[in-house]
Amino acid sequence: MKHADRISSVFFFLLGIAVLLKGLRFGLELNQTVGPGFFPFAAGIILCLLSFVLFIQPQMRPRPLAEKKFRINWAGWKGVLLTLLALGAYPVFINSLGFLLSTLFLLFFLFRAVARLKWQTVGVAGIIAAGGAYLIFEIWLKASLPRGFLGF
Amino acid sequence: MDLLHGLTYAFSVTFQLNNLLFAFVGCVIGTLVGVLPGIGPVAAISLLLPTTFRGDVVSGLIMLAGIFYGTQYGGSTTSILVNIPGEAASVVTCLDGYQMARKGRAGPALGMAAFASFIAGTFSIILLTLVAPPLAKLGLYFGSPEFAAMAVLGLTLLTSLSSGSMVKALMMATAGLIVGAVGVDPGMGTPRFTFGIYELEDGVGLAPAAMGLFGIAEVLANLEESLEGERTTLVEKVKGLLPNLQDWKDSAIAIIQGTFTGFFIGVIPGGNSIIASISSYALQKRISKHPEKMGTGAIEGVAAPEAANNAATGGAFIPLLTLGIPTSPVMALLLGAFMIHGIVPGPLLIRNNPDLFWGLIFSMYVGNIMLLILNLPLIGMWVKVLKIPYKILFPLILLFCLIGAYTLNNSPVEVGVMVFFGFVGFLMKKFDYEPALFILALVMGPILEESLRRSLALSGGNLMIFLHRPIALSILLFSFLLLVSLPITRMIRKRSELTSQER
Amino acid sequence: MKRHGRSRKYLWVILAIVLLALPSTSGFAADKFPSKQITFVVPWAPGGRTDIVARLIAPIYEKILGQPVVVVNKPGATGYVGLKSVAMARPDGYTLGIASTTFILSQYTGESKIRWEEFKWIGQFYSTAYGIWVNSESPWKTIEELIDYARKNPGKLKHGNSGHGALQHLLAEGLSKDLGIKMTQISYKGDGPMTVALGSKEVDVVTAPLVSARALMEAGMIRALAMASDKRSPNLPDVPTLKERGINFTGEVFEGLGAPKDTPDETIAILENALEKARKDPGLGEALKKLDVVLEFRNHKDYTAYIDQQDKRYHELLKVVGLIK
Repeated sequence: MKHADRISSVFFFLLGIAVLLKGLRFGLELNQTVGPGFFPFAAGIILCLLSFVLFIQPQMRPRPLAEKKFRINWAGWKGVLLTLLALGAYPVFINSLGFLLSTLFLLFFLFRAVARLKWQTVGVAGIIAAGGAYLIFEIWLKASLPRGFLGF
Repeated sequence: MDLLHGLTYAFSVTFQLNNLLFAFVGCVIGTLVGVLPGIGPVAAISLLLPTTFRGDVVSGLIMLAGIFYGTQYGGSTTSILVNIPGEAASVVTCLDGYQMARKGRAGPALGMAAFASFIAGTFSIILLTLVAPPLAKLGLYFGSPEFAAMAVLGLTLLTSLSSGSMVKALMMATAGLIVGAVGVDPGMGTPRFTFGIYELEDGVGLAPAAMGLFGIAEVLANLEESLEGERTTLVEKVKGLLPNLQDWKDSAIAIIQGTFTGFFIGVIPGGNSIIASISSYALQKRISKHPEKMGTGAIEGVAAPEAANNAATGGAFIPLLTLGIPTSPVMALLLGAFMIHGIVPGPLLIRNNPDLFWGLIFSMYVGNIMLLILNLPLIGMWVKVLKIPYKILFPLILLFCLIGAYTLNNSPVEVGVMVFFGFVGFLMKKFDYEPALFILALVMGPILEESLRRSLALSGGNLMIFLHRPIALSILLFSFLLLVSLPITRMIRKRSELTSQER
Repeated sequence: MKRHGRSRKYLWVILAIVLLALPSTSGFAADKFPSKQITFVVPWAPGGRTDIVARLIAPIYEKILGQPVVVVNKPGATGYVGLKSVAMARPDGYTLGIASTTFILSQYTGESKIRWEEFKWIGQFYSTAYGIWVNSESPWKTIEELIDYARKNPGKLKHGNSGHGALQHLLAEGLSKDLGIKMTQISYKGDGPMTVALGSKEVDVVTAPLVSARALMEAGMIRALAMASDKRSPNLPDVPTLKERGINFTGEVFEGLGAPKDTPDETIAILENALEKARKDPGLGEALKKLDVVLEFRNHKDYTAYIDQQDKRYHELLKVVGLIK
């Protein structure tokens, strides 16, 4: 985790810099009180300091006994990326396709492409889940879920 | 109207059949709502508000109160089972609750959550009836500097929640403060970090961020590890469905502590169930005999915050009913409900509408009993749900999160936010950062900023205002002491460990 | 055998989609409006005044029009998100938005630029006047005393508003300009915290509608010195109006129903009639009276003219007090 910590500390350091610069632009003072930029500015500085400490920490301290290992299981990444893709696409399409359709597609995709289930299972599970969700949320709870171009 | 008179009155009101029915319905709906991530009590209450018009006022409000309590109970369920906080106050329950579930102890965790909630909820209602009037006045002593001090206290307590690297914990808290600044700034209305997205002008919602960081990230992490091989952890043989004697012994103090901490914080304006659960957890870590176990699945880590957030709920009713001051959005909603019915809560409520006041109080008590009876048998059902093969379960979990996020504001933007945080949360897991602190700082940052800026505006830019206000000052001093005590106690512990090793 | 099986699976999926597409409700335009559910979009979070009034009016509308009326909350960006969705909705009269004075202001103060001309305004529900409140324990018993104090102590008087750039803020600043006084503005998030701050003496004066101040008023903690309306409020018969005291200033918030710009006039007329009928409903009047909301109805033509007038007034005021350039 030592090297991973180094990487993440650099990321946070840069984030801190970006934030504090933005904070400066918003203005630190505003007639008798602090301005909109003060909070981000202060937070940005603190973040930079902390990231710096994190970066040099391995030098300062001897290795603690319980050290978490940084692991990546590359085989599993396909699943993660596909899922993220599906999840990201869902809000984009939900208004145009409507709740029922987009949910169906999402479920089919997840069940099939990620979970790799057989088509029968995919179909049955997808329909039950999407239909069930529709029933519970739209009909019973009257949650006003989006309707697509098909009108439902 | 004296206490005895009031109680008998309340009895008669509450035990009318239709009021009991309303209470029950409210509890059921509340539990359901709490379990479904995203749809929080606000949405549920607002959806059902119109139906309260049909029935009579008291019944309607009893139902709404039932919903409110119900969501607290339901929220803990998802926190424990799938590490998704059902609502903000349940975030802390995730810490130990989920770990317990992973070790096959979901049943006892759920059970203890229910029992602790019940005991605390009941006690807080009793306390409420006893000390409502005097405590109500307390609300008026709390001004902006006090709110700022409370926020500082809350943020300080956050550091106690971490079980890992202190530096990383602080980084998460800071990052939370930064993301909390997204949106329109509290004093002036200038948009910050909104990237031109109008929906972000109100800030990053707690619910989508939490669902993403906890729920979605968890699913992604599990997907990465393995999907083919069954996830061994949750399918481990479930050891018993209810807490055993040892569990009770471990949790006793936690429950008592949580009740008092939660109630007290709930009463204070600016205190809410989030701060209550954090404080209780942090406090428990201090007084616990085995603090190192907390965060890895210690039952006291579930009992304390659960007790606290239910007690805070009871406490929060005080400012609402006696002063008409809502201390949180849900309370504001209930206030709105009152007003629709033409009832003005405030010091005159007890006098003008005694049946309402006492009926409501008593129904909360009855509601707590109902919820306990409702939730216990459900535990067995929930555990069975966990046994569904993950391949089928995970899309359902994701679906619930998506729907939950959408229904928050009927907007796909919240869904997008949630997915974004899902990705972020996944990375955080890989790089070993704790999301709980991030979320909690996200909530408290804006409170701190708003109160601080206003305090300065009130004093004309003079920080000395804090020195002139005894309540604020004491809270700040307390926070400072807490802050420095943590590293000191750690050092002392390490020393004693080392010296005992040497022997 | 395998290939045959695969295409069969696809068939199932397609069949499923078709089956589910069948129960598509609505869809096909019926001849008479309204023939399906109508949606009121409230651009605020549930529980607020707009939401409450909408939820009170919706069931009555439902009775009159004979179709379900559903209230949907779309909060965000001071009303922009909800109203934008209405402006962009299909102009068939089934999606309506509720807009208030705040909307007028947000045209200029917000980042979002959506103009009132992008809607067809059906009619106004109500208006509520603002009052000037002080803490009961403060030394000022009349509005003149307050103004006098303010004149002698510029900047010392702390005025709480419910949001920077919001209507209360604007009105207070406008009044100050008219009177030649200067108060220090302290912002809160909403009416609630603002009134509480008055009760706890954190600020000295606030401008608020009765409905927000009621709880504390009945508790005897705050009192109204004057109302910024044309006539005295029926709920506060002892409180003079600013006009009576020689100060020609009124401030009120109004709320009304709007539809997308291209909605046909016949549809608007139907909705307008329904609104007029709704306001005569006695139950509604009772409920709203308790909220101190004056059911003031303006029809489509009058309301549009009124909005235009308010738009010009507030635009001017915003410039005068320096909130916009």
